[in-house]
Amino acid sequence: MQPKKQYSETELVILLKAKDQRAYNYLYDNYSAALYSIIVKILGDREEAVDILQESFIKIWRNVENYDHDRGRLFTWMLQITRNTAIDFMRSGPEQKNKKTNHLEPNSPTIEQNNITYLATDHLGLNTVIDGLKKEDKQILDLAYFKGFTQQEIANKLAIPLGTVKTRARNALIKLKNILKTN
Amino acid sequence: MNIQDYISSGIIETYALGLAGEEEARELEKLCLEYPEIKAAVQEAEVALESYAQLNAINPPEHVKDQIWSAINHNSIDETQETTLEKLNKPTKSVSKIYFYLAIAAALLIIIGLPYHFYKINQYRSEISTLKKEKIEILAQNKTFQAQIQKASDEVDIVINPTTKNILLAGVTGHEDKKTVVYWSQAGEVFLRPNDLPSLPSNKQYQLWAIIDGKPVNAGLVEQRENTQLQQMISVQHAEMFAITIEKQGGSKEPTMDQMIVAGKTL
Repeated sequence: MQPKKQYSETELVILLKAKDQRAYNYLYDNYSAALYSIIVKILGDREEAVDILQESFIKIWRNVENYDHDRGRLFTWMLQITRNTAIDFMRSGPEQKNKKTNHLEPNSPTIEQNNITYLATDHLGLNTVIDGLKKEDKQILDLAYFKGFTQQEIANKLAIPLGTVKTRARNALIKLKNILKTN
Repeated sequence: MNIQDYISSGIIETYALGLAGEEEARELEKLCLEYPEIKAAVQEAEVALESYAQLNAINPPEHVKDQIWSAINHNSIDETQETTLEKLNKPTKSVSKIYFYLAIAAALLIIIGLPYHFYKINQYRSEISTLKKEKIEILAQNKTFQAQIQKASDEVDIVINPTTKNILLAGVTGHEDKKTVVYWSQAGEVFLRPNDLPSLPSNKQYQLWAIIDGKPVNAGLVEQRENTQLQQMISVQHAEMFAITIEKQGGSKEPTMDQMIVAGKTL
């Protein structure tokens, strides 16, 4: 997951808005696998996952002018686009998915960005982090973050009280943060 | 408010996971602008999740990178072409369509309008010829009126001329209620007011006589017409009397004496 080249946020934004292939390479090299895993989580391991990834990247590329990095991390924005594309595909038949246009909601958190957009996760063993989380922690993080489930949908899916959802999700994230910190 | 309490309340995590309520989220976004600590906490949560996503990453098949890049370019070319075409063609198309329909509408109007125009032109032509006729008639009438006025003016001149004699013709025995006047100018012209006398059946006519040296001489037939104030009779140079008799239509050579209505002496 080590980025081939590291850009500052400003450089990346300029390259993106210029539709420079280097910006595409950067986005793809750094985020395609993470986004692809989200698609696979939503769709299951299907051949359409590649189509959804392509559709998502096209949308990201076309709408990159509208991305406001004051409103959230680039990855968060890309994740929302990808997740919506995958969810829309699941909701509509495959024959309809090409016709359907997804409305991109810029509901990313309002946060200032770090200047460096790569993630220092390469030194972490995957297992170190994942193993530190319980199965139920991973489950709720998957549902809320990767699959975009609402509180109610999670409650239904996990057969737990609505009030428990937030507490459990929050605790899972806190646990995740702590593991990342200590490593 | 205590920022640390807020941060540790769990709202940050709930928000980062997309599980915060609308109001909660709005409040948090507002607070992010005010408190850098809150901003940093949200960012930390997002980074953690992003790392988690990266840890779960699955590499797509090798060829996908180039495939997507060419799809992006293909699509963006299509998109550009489309927008260019839209920009270039659509207005032109619609404009030329508008002209097309306008042309059809104009042609239809002309076709529909032509018979109407011919009808109207004919109508105006006949109106013009009627007006011309009327104008000619009016001009003729005008001349007639002018002549009548001239005549009347001349007659008035004669009547009011001090040298003209006004001779009262009074009703004779049996016709006492009737009377008229003869105007006799110095030049011998004789005028009569024909409508002073009662109208006659169409086979009868009044006839004026001048009595010259005891003998009646024809001075003209009276024509009873409307709007006739004065009728000029036959001129008479010398006469002792004037008399009017009722004669057959067309007059008589000798007066029918028992049919005398009015008479008056010239002196």
